Amino acid sequence: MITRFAFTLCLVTLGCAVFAQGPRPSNLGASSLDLGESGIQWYTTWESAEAEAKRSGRAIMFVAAATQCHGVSGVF
Amino acid sequence: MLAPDGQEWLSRASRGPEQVLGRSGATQALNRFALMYPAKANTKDAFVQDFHSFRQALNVASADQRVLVLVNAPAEQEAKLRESLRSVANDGAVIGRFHFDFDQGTQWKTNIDGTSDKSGIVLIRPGEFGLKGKVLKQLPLDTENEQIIASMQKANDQFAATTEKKVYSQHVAKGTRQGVYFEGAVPYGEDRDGDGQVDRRGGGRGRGGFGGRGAGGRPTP
Repeated sequence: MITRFAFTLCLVTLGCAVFAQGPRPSNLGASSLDLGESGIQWYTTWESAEAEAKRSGRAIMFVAAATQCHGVSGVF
Repeated sequence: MLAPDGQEWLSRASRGPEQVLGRSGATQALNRFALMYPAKANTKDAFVQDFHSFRQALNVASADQRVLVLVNAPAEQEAKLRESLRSVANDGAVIGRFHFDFDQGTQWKTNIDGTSDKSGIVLIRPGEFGLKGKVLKQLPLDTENEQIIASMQKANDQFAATTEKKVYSQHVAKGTRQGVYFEGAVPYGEDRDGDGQVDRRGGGRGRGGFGGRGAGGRPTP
């Protein structure tokens, strides 16, 4: 549903972990989204996200996250 | 949150959705922004996602636990495919379930099993740590969109049925034990105190963390 209303960008180069001063990585569990189900359709470069935002006129939710934690890949 | 021009800030920036979108709920807040900036063009024609590198695409697909759709085409065909695949990427059966990457070279084959010598639309199952992958299906570049979508749905079903959902903490602990290390462009760690610098104590790999190697256990690039 969020995909209908929010134009989103994931910049996969910064930081580690995406939540506030809340849980630490060691306390995080599994995603609430079931495998194979539809989630957010991210744009993963700024250039493509900006182009789509200008094309469609939708706002941008900019998220900076990394696909590693403590150097271990394959996780946000 | 940013306006469509990518310049005007609509909210402050913070690490948590509650600080940015308020405690009343992210969906409700996003609806407000959507009402402020309704789509002025058909969202079915939205651009197809792309990555800066296949390496990053594979890692993100692994992190999100989605099948990666690699469009491996000669340069002269890529622009046309970016256009024709819009209706595929925005199809209701596809959107939000895959990641897309365009890559013209052959370097991507290095750590992928089941590749062929031909160009094509390649459906790839990402490995557990996003460093390897396996071809689930390869389609010719001139495949009809309906057939691409059908193949993607089948790959998605297969992937979901045969993949174990990741548990964040267990994944990182396992990766640490196995010595998995993904080289990135920025220093690793967390900025929990919000000073713009990676925390050297408390936010890094300290006691009780993953593998206990201590904060900054590996040199930062």
